Amino acid sequence: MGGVGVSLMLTGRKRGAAERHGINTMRIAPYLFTLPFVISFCLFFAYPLGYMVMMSLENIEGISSVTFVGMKNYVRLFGDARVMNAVRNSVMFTAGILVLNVVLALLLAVVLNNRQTPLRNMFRSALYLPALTSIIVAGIYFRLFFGSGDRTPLNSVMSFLGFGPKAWLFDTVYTGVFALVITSTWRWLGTNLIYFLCGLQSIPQELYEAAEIDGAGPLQRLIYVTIPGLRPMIVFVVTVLTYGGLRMFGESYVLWTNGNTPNNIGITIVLYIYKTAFARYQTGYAAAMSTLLFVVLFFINLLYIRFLKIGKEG
Amino acid sequence: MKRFLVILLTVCMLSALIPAMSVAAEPTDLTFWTYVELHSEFFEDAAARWNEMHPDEPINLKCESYPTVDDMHSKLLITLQSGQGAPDIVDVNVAKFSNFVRGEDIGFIPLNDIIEPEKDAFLEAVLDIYKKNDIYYAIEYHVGAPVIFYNTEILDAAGVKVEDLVYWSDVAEAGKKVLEATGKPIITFEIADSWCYYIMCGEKKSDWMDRDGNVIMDNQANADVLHFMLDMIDAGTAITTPGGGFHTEEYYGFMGQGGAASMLLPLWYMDRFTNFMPELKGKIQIAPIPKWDDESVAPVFGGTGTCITTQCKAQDLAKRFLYEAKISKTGSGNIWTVLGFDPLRMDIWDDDSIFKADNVFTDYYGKEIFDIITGMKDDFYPTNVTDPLFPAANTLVANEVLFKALAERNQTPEEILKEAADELRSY
Amino acid sequence: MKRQKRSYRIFIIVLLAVFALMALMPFVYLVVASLVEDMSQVFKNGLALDITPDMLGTGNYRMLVTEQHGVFFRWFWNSVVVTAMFTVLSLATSSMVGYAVSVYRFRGRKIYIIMIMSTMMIPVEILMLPLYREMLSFRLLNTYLGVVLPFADSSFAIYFFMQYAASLPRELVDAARVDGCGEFAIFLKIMGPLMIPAFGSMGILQAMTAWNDFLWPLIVMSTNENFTLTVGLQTYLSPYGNNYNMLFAGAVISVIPLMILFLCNQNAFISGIMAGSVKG
Repeated sequence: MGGVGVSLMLTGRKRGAAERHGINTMRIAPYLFTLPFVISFCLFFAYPLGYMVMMSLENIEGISSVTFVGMKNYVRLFGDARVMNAVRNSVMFTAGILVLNVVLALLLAVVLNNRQTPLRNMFRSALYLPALTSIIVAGIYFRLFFGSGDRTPLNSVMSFLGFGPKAWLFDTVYTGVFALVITSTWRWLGTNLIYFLCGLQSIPQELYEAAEIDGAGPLQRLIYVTIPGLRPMIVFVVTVLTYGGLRMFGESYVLWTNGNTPNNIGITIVLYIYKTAFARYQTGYAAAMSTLLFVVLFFINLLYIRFLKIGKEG
Repeated sequence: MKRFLVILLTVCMLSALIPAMSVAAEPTDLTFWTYVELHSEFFEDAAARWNEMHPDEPINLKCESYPTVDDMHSKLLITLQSGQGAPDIVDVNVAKFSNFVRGEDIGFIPLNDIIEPEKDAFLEAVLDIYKKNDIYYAIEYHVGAPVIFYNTEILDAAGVKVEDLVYWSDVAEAGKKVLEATGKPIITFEIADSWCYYIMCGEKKSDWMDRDGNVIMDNQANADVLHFMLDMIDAGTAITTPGGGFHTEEYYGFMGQGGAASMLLPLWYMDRFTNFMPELKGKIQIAPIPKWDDESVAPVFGGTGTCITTQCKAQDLAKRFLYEAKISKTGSGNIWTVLGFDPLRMDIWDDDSIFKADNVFTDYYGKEIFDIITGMKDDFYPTNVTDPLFPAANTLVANEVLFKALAERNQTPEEILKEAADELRSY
Repeated sequence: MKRQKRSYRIFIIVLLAVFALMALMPFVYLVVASLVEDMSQVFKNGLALDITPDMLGTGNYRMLVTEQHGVFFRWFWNSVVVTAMFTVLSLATSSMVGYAVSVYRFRGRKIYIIMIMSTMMIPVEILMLPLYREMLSFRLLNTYLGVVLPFADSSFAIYFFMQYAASLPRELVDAARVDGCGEFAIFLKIMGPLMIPAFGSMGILQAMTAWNDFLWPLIVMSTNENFTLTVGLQTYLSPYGNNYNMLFAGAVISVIPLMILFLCNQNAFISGIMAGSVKG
């Protein structure tokens, strides 16, 4: 790609018409830049998606018996209480990680970006380390962390506060989603912290200096300089967390062995789809759910693009 | 001149060797997938023996063990659906089996010609689990005799003898003594896995679906079992299993510290005790499961069947190899020796050189383990575990029914079972 | 004023220490548990490891080397290759795309943004079957490329570069054009270097994703010696043959390369390269 760029540039020079050359490449360049994406989009996204929509209209049994059933799978979807259950869990989970990850990561990033904070390199590394683990490794620890025994760290705190020990993973939807939010935040907080730290680097120091001269305190600087300057990163983190949250499946899969969550207290949309396809073997129905999920996410997506002004700036 | 002769001689000898070498046939590649690491060891062992006995048609067995039951079966399904990439020989979990033999196009080849000649020596009920339209598609590893593992240290402390625990009512009564003497429950019931409950229902000859495929999950027998469990829980003599099921770290820790006096599962659970609860060595006694009444049976449903896929290129060879590995007398004996499972082949059950030989299990539990299995022989009763609805039914029980009935307790067992059964009927 | 500053520092230290402790506790647990040779001790104590030195040993680590002819190291190597391929490919392509969408105003730009955002939100799990069939027809099953290719042009990374490039000073681009610089040269020589912090952090994130990815490598790779580390480790966790000894030890070793990568890289993308260059 770089080679193409250079040669285009050279031919432009030879012609010696600097201005026309600029307009010309400016018109073509973006398409060349985005070409690899278009190819991979068609091959690895559009085609499989179309395939999935097709499957959603079929009843698939065993390894090759396929019958066309029209909208039957979609009709069934609206009578399935488990779908609502999964949607509720996924939404609660997404809300939970959004609040924790945006607020905490933002505050921690500001603190760690402050030159007066002692040992900030050390703390930054420590907070980032969990992000390096795989969900499987996290699962081993958090299954025990949320265990029902009275000696787990969490239950020790509970006892200390005067509550009895709880079987967190076998209680209610709230404890289930709570466990999911904590496990997921443990792994993702560090990453979001890095996003914000990275974004903070691009805010010119002069703005702070100017604000300080104008007599702005730390809180005002946060509100009037830091947050506006971080806007692109905040938008990024919010969208990534929303999609990540709504499509979460790994945490549920590892906290409850193979995703067998009791009475669906920890079931999420994608986990339900996965279990429907590969534990109940109702592939067509799973495809219908996936298609619907895609449509819903697509609208959220358009809303985000519009209201968070993704792609527009300044 | 002398040197020339030597060279000539060597060349002659070498050229004589060439045809001899080409007689030793090229080994045939066979791949084997399993989700149980130990099963690969078993098959590698069988392949080594095969190659010794059949130097004319050696095989080169490649074993792939997969992380989890679900992962391997998902992948098997995808490869069979795509028509390429499936293994030659594969272990299929009994609860997943039905999905692979639905419709006209079946991914496995018939095994009748290797099974039928030996059928009489086998516990036929378990062979038949994998039979569809009179065709055998898989050969099981083990009977999976349902047994109960007692912690004798706890029972002794309460003055309870294992021999006296014949009926479930005995267990419920003894539970009170155990609770009083030690403060511990006599048993735990799973809430995130189904097998313990499935066995207890199976004893009453009940099931999720009957032989004709009708959903009978909501029958009174199944509800009664839940009521029995609830009564014990209310009396404090039973609790729900820590960690939800018997295959969790939390449970191993709980049981290893003498958390409860017993647990109920098929015999293949033996190696969890030896591996994860070594401190209970010598304190665990295996016994036949308690009965409801004298009509009670010992439900058996195998566990894992080995199949040969239609994508296998050397089907005949694979079949003969499978015969020697799992059906022949030596092969069946190794199912006990290598794996510690109760083999289906009954005509070797009295062979003490196999079943009384020293191994980790006889070391842990004593030499009489297999006598218990032999004693249950006439009570074995196969369940309808390969019904097409079974995967869905089993998921429902494991994920919802037990938790709702034993932990949440907002509805009666009858209501919960009715709801689940209605859902199954709607498929 | 001075006292206020000191109490601020103490407050901050305590706050950070609490968070750091929570973040690190699982690692401490894993490391300690990986050194316990008798796994029943680990189950018995749960997270409250009552460990005495005599329980500890390196037996589990030695097992990793010996078990199955050290296939663990094969997995390790596979993970390294897959991660390297994925990271390089994904940074190269997605930085260009993100940059282009952010810097240029061209026809169809909005559609591009929608396309990028929608690929980001679809869970892989759903598309497994069609993707598998595609890999089959491309003859990429059981190859590194098959693991890497479908997700290498990561929309997530594109989106990141897009957001990052949006915050860069556009004047530099205009100035370069006036100087007669070609578009690709602008990217390579001017804007690219400004995005180094983004390359640094995305590099780690993409490496992490590839390193920890589980489901897709499992589907594509069909032989045990081609598994990646995460897939291989999970084979130790099957309920029908749990091998916790190697699981804990393997998990510890699996985190180390990423840790090294992170510690080496972090200064490159955080310690204020930007601060200097943006001013210019």
